[in-house]
Amino acid sequence: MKVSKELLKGTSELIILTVLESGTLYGYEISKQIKLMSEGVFAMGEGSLYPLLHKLEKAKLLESFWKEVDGRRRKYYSITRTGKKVLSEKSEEWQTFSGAVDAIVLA
Amino acid sequence: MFWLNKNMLASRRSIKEELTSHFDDLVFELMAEGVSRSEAEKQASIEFGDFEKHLKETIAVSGALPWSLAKIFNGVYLLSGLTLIILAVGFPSLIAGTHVETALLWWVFSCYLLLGLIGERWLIEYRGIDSKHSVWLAMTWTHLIALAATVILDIDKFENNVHAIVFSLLVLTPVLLLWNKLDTKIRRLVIYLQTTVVLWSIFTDTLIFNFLMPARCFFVTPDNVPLNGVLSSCTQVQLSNPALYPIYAVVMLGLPLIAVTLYKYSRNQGSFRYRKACLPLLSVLVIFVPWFINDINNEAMLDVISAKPKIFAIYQSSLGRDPEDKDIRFYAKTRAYTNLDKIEETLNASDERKQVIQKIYLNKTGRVATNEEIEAAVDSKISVQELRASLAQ
Repeated sequence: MKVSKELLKGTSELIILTVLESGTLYGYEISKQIKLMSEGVFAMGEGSLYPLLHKLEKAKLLESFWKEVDGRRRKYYSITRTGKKVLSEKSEEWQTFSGAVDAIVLA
Repeated sequence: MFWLNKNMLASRRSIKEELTSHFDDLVFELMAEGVSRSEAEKQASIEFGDFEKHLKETIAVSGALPWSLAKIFNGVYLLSGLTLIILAVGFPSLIAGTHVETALLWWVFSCYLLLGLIGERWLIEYRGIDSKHSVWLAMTWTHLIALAATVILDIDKFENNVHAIVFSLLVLTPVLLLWNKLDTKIRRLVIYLQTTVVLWSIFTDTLIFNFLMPARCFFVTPDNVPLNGVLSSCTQVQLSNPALYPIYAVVMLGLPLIAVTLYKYSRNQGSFRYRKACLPLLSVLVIFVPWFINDINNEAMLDVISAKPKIFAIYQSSLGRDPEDKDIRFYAKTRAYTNLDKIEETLNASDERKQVIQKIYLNKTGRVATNEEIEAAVDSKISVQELRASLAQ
């Protein structure tokens, strides 16, 4: 089952920060990882992924560097210290939110 | 300037490269599943969506500079500069000398203006606009450019520049205190405004913020000419004067910031190798080049440019000829160009003018002019052209 865009929109920053918490990845890997970790439920299109990555980079939550692997240059992203702090705040916020939604929906 | 163009585009280009790389990965993955290349590209295009739209959206978020700026820079800017140089150097007599030189000087000024604004934009976009840190960094860059321009060209605008820096910072103090409460657009506007004011100060003859505090003059030119007020209220300001230490402090504190930022910038987005060398090199050049070429205007030939059209007109009117290079050089060196009335008076009373009047009398009337006639022509300040016309009737 796919999730509506509106639901994904509010959580996409949290998702990207979470994916990058485990390591340094480039754009394509990030989108694959999101698909894999969500077992195919989330599929972040390129149209939203890259603007978001650049927005997070600009906000200094992510940092990036170019690296050449097997003759192909790729831009890798990693989470910054500020990014980790924001991630922990957002995770906490999410748990409170999802817990409250669960409490209502599953009641 | 070509490398500047490349740098302007580098950010945009790196985003395009990043998206292209993603697209290629989609194609390779499909090919690995046994799909033919053409079919894989077709499927990847459908999955990827509108490439140009994604590119534009990402560029908009990242703040990369658009192509149009580079086109304007290359097409209009460099071409107009080259044309002016060719006209000024190759055909000086054809253009009666003077206006091309003025335009060329303005072109050089605007080079500095552009360099300041473009550099500042890099810094702002790279560091973000949120912290006051960015403001200081951007301002330091601007001040370096402005000071470099005044020192390199040695155009007697150093005082104006320092005045603009000090007063713009004073005016901005309340804004900086409220920085966190300001909208991003307003922050950007404030920084660009301050940059423009400081850079503009090197183009103007008057002190921009004079209306805020009508000056008792503080600065005097190297030959002790006060810029404002009376001489007794003035203080000679040398480059080593402690009054300038706060300015130097801001600049010196900003230098490491600029160096670190440029290094990070080139490291993170170094899609072109030369950028790694060019950006730090640029910052070094802006600071150190003036030390090597600060004698361009030692004879004040740049200062005299704005007065040249009037000097030419005075010479034509008094003597019926253009001034020679040595005349212009003399007016520049002695700063006599600041008193054009005196130049006119001197030329009117000169022996050369009397000889010219005598020649005109001989040509037009066929006789030698009397001393009274010559003195009358000198006293009336009649132009050579008018005298010719009146004697011809």
